[in-house]
Amino acid sequence: MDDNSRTEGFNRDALRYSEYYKGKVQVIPKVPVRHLQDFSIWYTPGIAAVSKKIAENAELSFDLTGRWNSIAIITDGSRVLGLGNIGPEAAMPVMEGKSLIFNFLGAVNAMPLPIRTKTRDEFITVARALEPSFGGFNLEDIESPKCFAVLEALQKVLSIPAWHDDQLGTACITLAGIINSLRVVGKKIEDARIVLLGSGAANIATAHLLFTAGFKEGNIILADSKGILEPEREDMDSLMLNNPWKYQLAMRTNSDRLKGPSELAFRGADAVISASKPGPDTIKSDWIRSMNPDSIVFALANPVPEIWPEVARKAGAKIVATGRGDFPNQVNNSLVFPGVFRGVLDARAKGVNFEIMVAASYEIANFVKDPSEDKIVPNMEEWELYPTVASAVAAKTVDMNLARKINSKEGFFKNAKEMIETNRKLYMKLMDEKLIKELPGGMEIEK
Amino acid sequence: MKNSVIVRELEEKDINLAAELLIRLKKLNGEFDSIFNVSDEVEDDAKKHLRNVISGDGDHVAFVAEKGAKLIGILTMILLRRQYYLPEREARIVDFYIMPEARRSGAGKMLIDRTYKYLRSEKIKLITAEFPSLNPIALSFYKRLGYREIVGIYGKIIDDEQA
Repeated sequence: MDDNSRTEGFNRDALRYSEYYKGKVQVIPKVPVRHLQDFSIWYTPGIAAVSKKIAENAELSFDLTGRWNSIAIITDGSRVLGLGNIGPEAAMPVMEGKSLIFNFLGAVNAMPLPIRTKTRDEFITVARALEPSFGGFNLEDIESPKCFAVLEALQKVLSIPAWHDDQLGTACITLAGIINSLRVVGKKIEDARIVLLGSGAANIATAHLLFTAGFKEGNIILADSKGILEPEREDMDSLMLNNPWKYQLAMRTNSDRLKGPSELAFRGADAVISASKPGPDTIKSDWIRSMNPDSIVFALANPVPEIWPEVARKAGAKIVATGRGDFPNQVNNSLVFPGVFRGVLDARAKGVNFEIMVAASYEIANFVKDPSEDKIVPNMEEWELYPTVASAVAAKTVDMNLARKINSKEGFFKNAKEMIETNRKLYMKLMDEKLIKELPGGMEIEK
Repeated sequence: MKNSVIVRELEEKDINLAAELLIRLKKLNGEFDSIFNVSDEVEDDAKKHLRNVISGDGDHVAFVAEKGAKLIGILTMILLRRQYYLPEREARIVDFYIMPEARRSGAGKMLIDRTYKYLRSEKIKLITAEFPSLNPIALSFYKRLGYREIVGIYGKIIDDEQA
């Protein structure tokens, strides 16, 4: 089956099954109800005693309610997948899907919450108002540069972690892939010259994460549709006003002050991380040929990478990664966010930062025991990955004094593994018992 | 020293680079308010203006900040005589631009200091600055230097006459 017919098949099934199941997640009880009198414990009058306790100390909401394991997936629907600004209602199917992944891989109760807001201030106000109900926020599919302002503001004011997966999740798995790629080709972080092609949410966050991981700011070059980002570029003042995050990176990176079209940035580069427009000709073979020997190419655009892996390899790339599962080295956020949230929730974290993300990236990279050209990141079916990442994140949260709950890395791992396994058992049980209805007609998935 | 900033008067050899700075400034003005959208003649206008400054009748003064072989900032002003009021002589800053990378490096202050030195030598007591009302960066910059709002200019685009 070719790519197009496979995609059409998925589209057809998604519509058919959405109509059949009418939603992908639901709230189910987690306490026993032996008889109706039990509601006097779980609800009024008994529950008033619990409320009184929390009223005295709001932090107890993490111990006496499900807040400790609940997050909100918040979007304004302003940049959903490749569909653009389709609004909050239309964003719901995607947020439900994300919620399912959070639960299935990380045992996280993730509430899909598309909201009707227009401005960044409205978004921030709504998110702040929701804080008392959740242990963390996963922001999703928000247009750039609004996403930077919203994340920055929420990380400052909230006492729970705020994560924007399009920025931080992508950056985290990208760094993990780059760490292992450099190991494979025998190059050092401090010497590596990296090109970030595309200067949207993902690559702007990736640049910051690379800095935190020890890459030299001057060795990193960002480029976008207008060419190489550098302080003398004509649109700098416009960026200063409209996208200060990109503007700041123009000041900090590219110490050689290279200017001109994007392809010039490839000359002498060790790695390119492209989160640009879909290919296959966005990156040309000649550009790859101008890179240093043993070059690393991450062509992450979906559905078609900026250059086909085979073409990149023929042009001299030693390692090629894409966002797709049908090629080796899939750089996929799903390897990150379930474990990261399991970790921050288990530590009852007050926040998340780039240092914690670097720890997560190293844990993911180290999880691959023998990295090679075709295996720089784990795949989604390696189940130990999620509790492993969770334990690294939780332990780093403790190190950074951002944890409300202290444990050893081993303790966090044991706890996370148990939770994820129990949750899967519950899920499998519901499927085995047909309490979750079988797909009508059965959906065939190519393995 | 090769990489230190020097401030000096605008010279003929600077015209092209100085015009680039002026164009950047005019485009920046347009970012704040569409009433300042630049025209197609902006480059010619900028060069013409700068030539006037250099070879003019002394009513215009311009200083540039230079680092290495690059111009990193420009300040131009017009010298006015006020009717009715004292002090009679006024110097009005009409263009002030620093390249992004040189901002917060002290180059702007050096240009201002050089301007004050010139005005003192000319016994001009009053200095003013004009910039788009919607430019909060300029507003905060001049306020920090002790300037205050002294006159307002309001504008609108007049609609085509209704039939």
